Amino acid sequence: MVRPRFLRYLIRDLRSLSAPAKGVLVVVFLFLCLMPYLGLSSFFRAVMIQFLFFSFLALGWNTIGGYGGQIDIGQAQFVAIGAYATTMMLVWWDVPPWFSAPVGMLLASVWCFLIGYPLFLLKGHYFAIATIAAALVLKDLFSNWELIHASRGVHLPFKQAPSLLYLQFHTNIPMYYAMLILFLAGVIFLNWFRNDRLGYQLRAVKENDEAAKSLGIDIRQAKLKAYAMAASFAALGGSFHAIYTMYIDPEAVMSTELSMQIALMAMLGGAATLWGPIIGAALLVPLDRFLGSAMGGKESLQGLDLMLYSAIIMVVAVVEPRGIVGILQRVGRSFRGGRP
Amino acid sequence: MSFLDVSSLTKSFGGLVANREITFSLNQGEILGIIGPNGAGKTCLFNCITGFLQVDSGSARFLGREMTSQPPHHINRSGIARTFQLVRAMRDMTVLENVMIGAFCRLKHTDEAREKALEMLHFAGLSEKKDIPARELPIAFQKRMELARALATDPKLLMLDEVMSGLTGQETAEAVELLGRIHRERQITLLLIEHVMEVILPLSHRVIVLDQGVKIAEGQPQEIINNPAVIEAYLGEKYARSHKH
Repeated sequence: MVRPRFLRYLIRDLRSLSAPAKGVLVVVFLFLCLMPYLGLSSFFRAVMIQFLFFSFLALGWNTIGGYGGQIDIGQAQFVAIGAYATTMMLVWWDVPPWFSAPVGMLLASVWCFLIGYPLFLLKGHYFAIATIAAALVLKDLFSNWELIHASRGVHLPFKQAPSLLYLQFHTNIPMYYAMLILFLAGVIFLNWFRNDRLGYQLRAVKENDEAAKSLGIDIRQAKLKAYAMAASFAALGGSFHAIYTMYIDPEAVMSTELSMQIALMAMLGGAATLWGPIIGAALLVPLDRFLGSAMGGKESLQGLDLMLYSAIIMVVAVVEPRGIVGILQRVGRSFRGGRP
Repeated sequence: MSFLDVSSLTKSFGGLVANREITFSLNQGEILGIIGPNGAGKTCLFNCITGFLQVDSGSARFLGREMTSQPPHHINRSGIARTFQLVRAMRDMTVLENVMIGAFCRLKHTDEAREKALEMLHFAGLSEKKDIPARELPIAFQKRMELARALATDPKLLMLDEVMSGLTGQETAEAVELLGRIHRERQITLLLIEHVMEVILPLSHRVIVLDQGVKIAEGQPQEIINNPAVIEAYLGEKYARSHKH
């Protein structure tokens, strides 16, 4: 039987895991699948949805930012394109998210090609700064664009009855499962990506672009492809966000803070690793919630979370650029005594 | 139609002319050496032919197609592979992964690329090192890895920029043996740069000599070592004059 490649890679990679890793994976998987029936609060479910949401975005970021080494801090603009596409198509034409989400992904890809062409003339820090700038320009545009209600934001229209077509329900349990499915699809996609030609080529570009060129790799094209993948992830996440929260505005879906969070989760957990973005999100989402509820009311403490993020970035950069996965690998190695 | 035709190739940086009107041709199946003292413009010539530098004027035609206006990855795909004077390894990738990058030039699927890379590693005598990160390899092995990686792109012409530099006597002998096998068993045409003459003369069918950006001599290795202009370029004017009979 001929299996598609993404399935072959998945089966092979799962088999090659160590026994304890397999055990952890099974427990986590079962927990994720059964979580709504474990008697946990609706608030806990909301945090879990947020965790899956950010994991998904950080996984997408990992294509261009991790494997490609192009530190993009403008992912929020693609989240916004997806969110607005889904919202406006629902408001104007009553189009369900099932159809508007792919349109959002397409629009995000088109936008990423438009800005990617000049952006990829830049490298390193200059690229990172330019992505922030590009996202801010788009945010300003959206904040002043009357057609999409400018900075006032848009409420999504409620349906009378729960509807699978419009993904509107009485509880957040179905939305949890919707996000879980997106998340699992994201993991499988990333596992395909890192095992396939483009993943290898991007790593080569990251490590030595001159050598990559000499080996027949079209650097610009490879980066653009990965950037379009990251943009599509972000747009899909944005569509989900819109129908989940039922209200969007430029501040909520396209702030620099959101872009930073996405990049930071991947880097903290371990850029260019499959599990890194997920581990990063598992740590930072609860932290964000804690900071939000513990200090949210106090005006004087606003911005503390951003300071904390900056500090985390610096510590990761100095201590272990490969993030928590890098630290775990080191610990594992020393347990086994020396190198593998 | 000749294999590689370089004609009147000129490249300057500001006021400095690194390559002036360089013309030579290369036949399929040949081993051509390019020698010259440091700063003669050898690497610059390589970079012009492989698309890493834009030429000011002149042309380099490979199998009848103009190369100088194309980007490096096109040139590689049309059948010219190169190595670098200072090894350019993907340092955090394993030896096998490095060579797979070369194989991905022609192959789409990971399993095919891995198979091809393993074959190339076997050919270059690196099979045992396949799972080591490239950064941990000693320089002689890194050079071999770079050769295997270039070979994995299935070139018709392999351009090697000082593959022997930094090697011990024993390692040099092994490298010469490997180059011989590449030429014989894989029927690949070789264009070699060296600045140490002793290495290149026994290997090359024909040699051209560059000095200060200009081609000063071309011929069989035996003719080259007796050419007064070459001796002067390498050993200085005084030495050349005192050896005139």
